[in-house]
Amino acid sequence: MNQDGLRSDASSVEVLISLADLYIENGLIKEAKGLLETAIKQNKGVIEPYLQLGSIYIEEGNTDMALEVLSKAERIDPRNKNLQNMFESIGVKKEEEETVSLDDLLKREMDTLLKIQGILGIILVDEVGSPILAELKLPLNEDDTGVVISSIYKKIEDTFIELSMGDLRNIFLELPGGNILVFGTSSLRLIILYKKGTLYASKGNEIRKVFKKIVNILGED
Amino acid sequence: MKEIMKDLLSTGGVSGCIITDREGELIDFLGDGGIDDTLVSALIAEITKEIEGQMKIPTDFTISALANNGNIFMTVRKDFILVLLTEPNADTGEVRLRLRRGAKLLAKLI
Repeated sequence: MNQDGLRSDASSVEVLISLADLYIENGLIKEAKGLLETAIKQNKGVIEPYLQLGSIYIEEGNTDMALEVLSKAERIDPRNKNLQNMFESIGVKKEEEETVSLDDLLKREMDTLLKIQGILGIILVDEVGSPILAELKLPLNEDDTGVVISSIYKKIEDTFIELSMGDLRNIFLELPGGNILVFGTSSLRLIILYKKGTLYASKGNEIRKVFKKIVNILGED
Repeated sequence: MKEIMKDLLSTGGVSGCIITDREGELIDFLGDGGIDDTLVSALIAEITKEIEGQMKIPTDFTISALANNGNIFMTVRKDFILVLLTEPNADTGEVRLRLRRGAKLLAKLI
């Protein structure tokens, strides 16, 4: 039985794959490869013949060819479990593709802060107080709060400039109703609202690290 | 008053202690000669007015502001504002504690 004969007899890719299996069982590797290549040509959107051909190359220790075939299979179904296992078997670790939006990245960091005891809300604003993102556990108008705090921050920042005391890094306001911590750069303000009496010092470094991450995410400064 | 200020100035990293009224008129100053006490008083009073105006809060609030070349700690009371200027490496926790204690003592005098 020649390959052309097989092709004409085979009406579906399943049949070609089954026949290739039979060839492999009988040690007819070259013929099985030919059959699978035919199956690929006839069914370019089907992943199975690629996987079977890839597994033959892996068996043979031909990593280069295996990688070439599996890479083509990846274009059809990158999340295929068998494909991922085969990649792993030849030492190729595929990173799980993750498309995370900028908002999600920022929310993730802000959620980290919200887990800190005593923090009631976080508002991220630009230098004029326009909100970028807010996570609040209390009924506050984030727009107004952002503008008010930014205005105060700006006033203090100007004072430091006038007194030649360098760039303002953060302010901590202890007010009758609660505390407010603000971290700033030239274009960002991270406003953290605290319960009254909450100690800032113990978590200051953790908050500063998160603020740095937020600055990096936004590619600022 | 000078005794209270001396005690505040003995805190590590504190370079100046200023007492001003809420209009920015200097009440007293102790510290490094390089500090422009009149200017600091005026600017601190402006910050206080900004906060009171923006946040609609009465008195008794404290601000710690940290910058690259130094820090300002200020506490606002009904009749005065107590300000401490410090080096960047000052122990902020200790300074805030001393500031609060100093303000309590001054409130009895002013």
